[in-house]
Amino acid sequence: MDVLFYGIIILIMLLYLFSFNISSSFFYNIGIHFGEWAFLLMATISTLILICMKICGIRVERTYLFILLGFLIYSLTQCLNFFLLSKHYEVLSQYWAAIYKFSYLLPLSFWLIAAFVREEESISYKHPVYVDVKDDLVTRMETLDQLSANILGKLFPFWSRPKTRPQSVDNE
Amino acid sequence: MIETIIIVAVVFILALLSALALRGRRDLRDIRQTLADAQVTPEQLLETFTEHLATIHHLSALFRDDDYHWLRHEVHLPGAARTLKRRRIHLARAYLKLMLADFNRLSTLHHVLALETAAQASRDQVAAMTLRFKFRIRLAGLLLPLNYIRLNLSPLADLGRSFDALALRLTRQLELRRQ
Repeated sequence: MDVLFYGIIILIMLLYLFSFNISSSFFYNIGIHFGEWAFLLMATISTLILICMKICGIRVERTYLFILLGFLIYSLTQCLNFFLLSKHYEVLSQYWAAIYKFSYLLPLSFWLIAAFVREEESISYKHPVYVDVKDDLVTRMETLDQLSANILGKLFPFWSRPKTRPQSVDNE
Repeated sequence: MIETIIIVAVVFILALLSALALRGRRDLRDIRQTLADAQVTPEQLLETFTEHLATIHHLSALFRDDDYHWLRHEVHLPGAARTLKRRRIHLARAYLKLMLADFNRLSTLHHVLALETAAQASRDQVAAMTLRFKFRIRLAGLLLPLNYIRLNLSPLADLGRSFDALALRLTRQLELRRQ
């Protein structure tokens, strides 16, 4: 991934150095046409990632969280730029121009924070022995999970219950 | 114009959902603060959760349906039976919320403790269990209004009995470990 990422950056730099006229290229035109929807897709995926993290209780490192937030804000602001500002304002007034510039600065600042943010202080040095506790926790959650699976189907009030016939008593 | 309005509405909905998803979890902060102070060990915290589990699941004894049927069909008091049904359904909803809160506390404690180790398999397992459990409890909450038509809360009583047995087993394990 690093090779791909830095490879793209080097390619863009080389194209710039050789004064490549990008506006006539096929990929540029495709990018312009679909770029608007790509930003909306990026915003949707970022939001879905955050929602899944919230529902599943997943916590990621602060660095990755700020990178994700940067992409989320960048995609949301670009959606507004493409679908709202560019379609209704041919020339941006001072106010909208400031907002337009801020929409680029804000995600960049999140990515900059991601490079320097420190992780939360580890508690393991204060509680070094907690392997048993983690195993207990996982076992307890597994049991709760299995019990909830057993009762959920029975909570529907219109399942037909098996009819119990009276059993004949054997006279001994 | 319509397309712009729809897209802008979608953008604002996504922004709102992201903001809701990013809200800080109070139980996470509380547990981290409690363990960071080093006054309470994770074992003691887990014991507190076990005592709370037992307290919650004593409520499950209220979900027997036979007293409703007795009021309705034996002594013919339909008004009292309806009131009992309504209150039982409210109680069931509160009970499911307490169960969810209890499970959230357990998964939060696991995440706080697992953060330092590279136990990715354990975190994946807990994330999958959390998703399943939350889905089931939410679905159970959606099924509750059907009980206004036909009361069927006795499975919650059975669940409570299973949880009581679990709480008892866990309490004994913790006592043995202390000895």
